[in-house]
Amino acid sequence: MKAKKVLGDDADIVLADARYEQISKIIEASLVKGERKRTVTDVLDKVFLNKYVGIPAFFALLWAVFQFTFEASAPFMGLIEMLFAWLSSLAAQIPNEVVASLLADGIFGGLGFILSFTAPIFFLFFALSLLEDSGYLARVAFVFDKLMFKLGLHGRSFIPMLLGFGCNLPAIMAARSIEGKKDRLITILTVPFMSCAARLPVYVLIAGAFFASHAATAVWSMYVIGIVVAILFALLLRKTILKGEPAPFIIELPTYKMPTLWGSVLHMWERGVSFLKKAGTYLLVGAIILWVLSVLPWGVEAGSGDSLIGLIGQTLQPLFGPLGFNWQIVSSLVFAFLAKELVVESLGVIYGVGGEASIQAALVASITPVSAFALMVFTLLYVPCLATVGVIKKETGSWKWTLFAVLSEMAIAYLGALLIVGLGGLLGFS
Amino acid sequence: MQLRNRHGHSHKAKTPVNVDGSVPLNSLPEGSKAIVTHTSGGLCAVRRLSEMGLTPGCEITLKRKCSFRGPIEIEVRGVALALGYGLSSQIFVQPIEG
Repeated sequence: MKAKKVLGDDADIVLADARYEQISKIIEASLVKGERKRTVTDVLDKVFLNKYVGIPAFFALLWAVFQFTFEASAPFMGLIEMLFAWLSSLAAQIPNEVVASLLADGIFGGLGFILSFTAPIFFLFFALSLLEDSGYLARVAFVFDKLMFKLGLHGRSFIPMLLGFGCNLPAIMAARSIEGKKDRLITILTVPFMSCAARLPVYVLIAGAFFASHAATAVWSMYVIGIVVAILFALLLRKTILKGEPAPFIIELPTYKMPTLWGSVLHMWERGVSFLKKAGTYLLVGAIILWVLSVLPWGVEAGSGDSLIGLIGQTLQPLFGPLGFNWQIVSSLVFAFLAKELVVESLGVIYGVGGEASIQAALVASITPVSAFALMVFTLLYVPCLATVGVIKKETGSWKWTLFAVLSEMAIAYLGALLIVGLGGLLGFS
Repeated sequence: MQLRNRHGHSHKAKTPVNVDGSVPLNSLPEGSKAIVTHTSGGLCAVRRLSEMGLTPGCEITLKRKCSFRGPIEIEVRGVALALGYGLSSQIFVQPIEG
C-alpha cells in the first residue's frame, strides 16, 4: 500500500518489472539451457497461424468436429432410444389412465427422447476438449483478431464465442475476462448466436429428415451461419449504440500439447453432467408442462388442434405463415423458450408420435425442405433459453440490455428465416 | 528507467523514429530481434504488458506478422505472445542488428 502511495498508479508496473528481474536472475543462476523445444509448435503454427490458411483451417477443423460428433454418436442414440421406448411401454401398462399417460407419453416418451441426444452432446464436448487441451484455442483468437479488430472487437472475444458452442451460459460468464465495458457488452450480446449443444438435437432431427446424405454439412452450416450473424451483429452494435475503440489485445500462445485421452474425457464428463443436470430440471418441468397442455381440456386427442398446446400454436401461426411453418411447429417453438431441446420433444408430443424416425416422417409430410432449413436457422438465432436470459441479466446487471437482447434475437431470427425462404424461392427450391 | 513516454513522438508519421532511435514494434520485419524501450499506450495496456513480462529493457523476437493491420506474434522470455495491431504500434523498440 505504501508503494502505491509513493509510486502512484505505476506501482503495479514497477512491481511486475522487479518480479521479472528477480525471475531472470534466479533462472540464470539455476537453469542450464537445453535445446529449444518449440519446433513442433513452430511447424504447426506455420499452418494454423498462417495469414491465408489459418481461417480455412479453423473451419475445416470445425467441420471435422461435427462429422465426428455425428458419426460416433449414432449407435449410442439408437441404444438410449430403445431403452426409453421399453420403459415407456412398461409404463403404458399401469392401470390408472392419467398416470400411465403422464409416465409413458410425458416423461419417458419426451424426456427419454431428449436424453438420447446426450450422445452427440457428449461427443461434441469431447471434441471441443481436445481442441482446448491441445492449445489450439489461443491460435483461434490470433487468426480471428484481425477480423475482430475490423468489427471493433478483438481476438479475445472469439473465445467466449467459441465456448458458446458448448453452452451459452459459461460462454457469457467467460466474457468477464474481457477488459473494456463495451467490448464485454458486445460479446455478451453476440454469444447467443453461437450454436450451443442444446440446439444440436433440433438440427440432427431436421437435417436427418430432409438432407439425408448432407446432414453433417447442413448442421455445420448452422454453426457457420451463427458465426456470421454474430459478427454482423457485433459490427452493427459497434457502429451504432456502442461506439468506441476496442481495448488492447494481448494473449499468450502456449506450446501445443498432446491432449490426453483421460483429460479430455474428464472435461467431457464435467460438462456433459452439468448438461444432464439441466435436463433433469428444466427439461423435466418442460416435459410435464407440455404433457399437461397437450391433454387439456381433458378428453381431447393429445396434442391435437383442440388441446391448449394446439390453440397456442394456431393463434400465433399467422405470424409465421411467410416462413412456411405450420401451427405444430409454432407451438414447439413457443415451448423452446424454456430450453431449445424442447423443439424436438414438443414436436413428438404434438404429432403424437415417439422416436426420431416417426417425428421426421411427420415433418417431411408437413413442411418443405426450404422451410425446414428456415426452421433450423430460426432455432439457431432466436432467444437461446430461459437460463441464458437469466445469465445475461446477471452479467449485464441491466434489465434494459436483457430486454434488448431478447427482442433483437427474436427479430434477427425472424428476418434470418425469412431470408432463407426468400433465397430458396429465388433459387427455385420450394 | 523510462517506463512510458506519452509525449514527444508523433503518431502521424508512417514509421516514427524517436530521438533515441526506437521504432514501433510493428514496423520491424519478421524474424528480427529488438529491445523494448518504452510503451506509449494507456496505463491499462502498459500494466497488462508488464504482467505478461513485456517490460522495458527485455529482448523480444518478432516471430510472425499478419498482413496489413493484423496481430503479431512475438517471443519474450521464452513465451509466445500475440499482440493486436493497435497495441503493437504503441510498443517502441530498439532493433538489434544481425
